[in-house]
Amino acid sequence: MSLTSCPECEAAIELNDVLVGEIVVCPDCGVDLEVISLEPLQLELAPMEEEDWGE
Amino acid sequence: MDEVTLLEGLLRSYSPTAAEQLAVEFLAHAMRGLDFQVEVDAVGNAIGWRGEGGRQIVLLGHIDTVRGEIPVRREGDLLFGRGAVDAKGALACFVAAVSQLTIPSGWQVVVIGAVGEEGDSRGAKAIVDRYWPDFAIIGEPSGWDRVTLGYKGSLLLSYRVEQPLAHPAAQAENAPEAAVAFWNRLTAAAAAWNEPYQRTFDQVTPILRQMQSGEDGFNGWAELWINLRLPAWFAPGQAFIELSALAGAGRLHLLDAVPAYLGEKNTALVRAFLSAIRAVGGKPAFALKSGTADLNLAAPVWGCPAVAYGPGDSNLDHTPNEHISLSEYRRSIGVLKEVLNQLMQV
Repeated sequence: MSLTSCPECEAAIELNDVLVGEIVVCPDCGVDLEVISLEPLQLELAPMEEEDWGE
Repeated sequence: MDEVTLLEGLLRSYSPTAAEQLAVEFLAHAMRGLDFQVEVDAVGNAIGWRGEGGRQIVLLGHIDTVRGEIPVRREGDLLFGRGAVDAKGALACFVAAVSQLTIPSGWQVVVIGAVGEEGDSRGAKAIVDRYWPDFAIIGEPSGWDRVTLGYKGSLLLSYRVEQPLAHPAAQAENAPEAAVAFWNRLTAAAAAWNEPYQRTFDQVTPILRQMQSGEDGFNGWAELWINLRLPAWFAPGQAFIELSALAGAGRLHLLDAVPAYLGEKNTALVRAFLSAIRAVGGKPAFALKSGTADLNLAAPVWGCPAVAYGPGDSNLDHTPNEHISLSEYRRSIGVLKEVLNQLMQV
């Protein structure tokens, strides 16, 4: 088990068996977060979803 | 052959839909020179592969472009030419990245330059049953630091209504007026469907493509060609049923239907892209596209993690100013190499 905090609301977050690049949800504020490293466990706001034209 | 010579050669091989042979021959020759095994299949797709094994990654690009040849030229870092963005940049990125990898035992990486994507996707339709990849990447411009997770669906249909002619002063609804009334009912319904949704990706977008009308002395007629861009929550079949209920005296005829596709974020494929983009100093983002692509067609059949990726600004798709930044093109090759290396360690 690893402990870290949400970069958006600073709530404490416990995570188990996650992978780098995995998207997790903050249980307090509900924002999507990306696991960017495991040792130490670090989270960043997950990539934005941007809309554009294209086909 | 270096990566810029490869892209420039593809651009010089002008290949509008249904006339791709020159570019297919160029790509097949280039891939042979880069240590791929190569075949040109029955519909004209250029297919190259490296490695042998039970696990497979398919990189599906398209080699056709829209019409309108643009003289190939360089201006500093920019390379101009039809298809620079949509999507020879992505296809050349695939070939260059795979050519620079050591493919581990047990893995095969396949690069496909498919024909017909700007038309009826006949190239992709011909290969979807030939491959069962573990991961799929579709070659479309996302920008080097973005990953495209989804494309909207599309429903193309015609609406035809006929009415007996009456004297214009009789104030009876004529066929053109009936067609306009149907279009107005359709747009009102779309506005109601869209009410809960903020994003264009989640909304129904009606587009009136063509309208004609005429009369033969006894009857008048009017015809509309309509394209509905569909969100993931609205299947083409359901949309057709809903529109049929609005058709009044007219009849709808289905011309083409493609469901929307929205891929998962929590897959090994997406994780590999996020870490590869961050590893070269980028801030990754996800893209959701309002058009359709071969991703819509192939991903549901293959059922594996699938995204679209490629260098370039899709705002330049289909424009007379189509060009790509060579430095972005090189960065996308670096990202893709890292992604493929990570996937083949799984």
